[in-house]
Amino acid sequence: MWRAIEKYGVIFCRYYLGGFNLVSGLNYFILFWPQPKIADVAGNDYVLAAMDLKLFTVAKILEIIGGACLVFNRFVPLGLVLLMPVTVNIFLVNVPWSPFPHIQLSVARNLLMHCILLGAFANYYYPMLKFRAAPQPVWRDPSRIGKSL
Amino acid sequence: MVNFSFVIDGKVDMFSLNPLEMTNFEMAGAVFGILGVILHIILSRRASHRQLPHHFTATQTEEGAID
Repeated sequence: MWRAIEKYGVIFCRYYLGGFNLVSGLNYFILFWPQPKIADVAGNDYVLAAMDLKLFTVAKILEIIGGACLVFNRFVPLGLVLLMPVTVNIFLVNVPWSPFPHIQLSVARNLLMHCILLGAFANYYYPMLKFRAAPQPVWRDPSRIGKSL
Repeated sequence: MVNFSFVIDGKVDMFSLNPLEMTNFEMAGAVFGILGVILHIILSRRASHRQLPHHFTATQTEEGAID
């Protein structure tokens, strides 16, 4: 029973987070829904500065790539890593500063789902926990990229 | 009372903590999530049907065929 909840819970989280980010990223360029308005004062300057620096566009491109990875179940660990800065930034900007409890709940839920997915795909991140790592440059053997696909 | 207000005009009660009162992106995520789980169940059932072990029949494995 718990195994089934675990299995389908992870699948739901993957599709939910992927769909959320994919639609959010596509909406920035296609605008099929009105863009959400920023209401808070403190986070407003940060978002406006990010838009002026085109960082917002970069974030939306990352959302599309990472969201597509999660929805289509391809390169999921890579997609989670690409989406992590976006999720953390949205969490840090909104949870302390947003006046809307609904938004605070939404971004906290996204971060929680992201952490669950990182934990679910943890076997791909264990090699990062090497205490003393030796470099193996990619330019010495570029074919390793193809072999690892 | 549980209310379900999915609107595609970007308007939602931002002060509500009702998980069923969602923004467009949350609703898109929920739709993706539910459809994804249903799709996964259907595909895994079809895959498990295809992956059944091969049943050998008497005509394929005749004992003493070399003789």
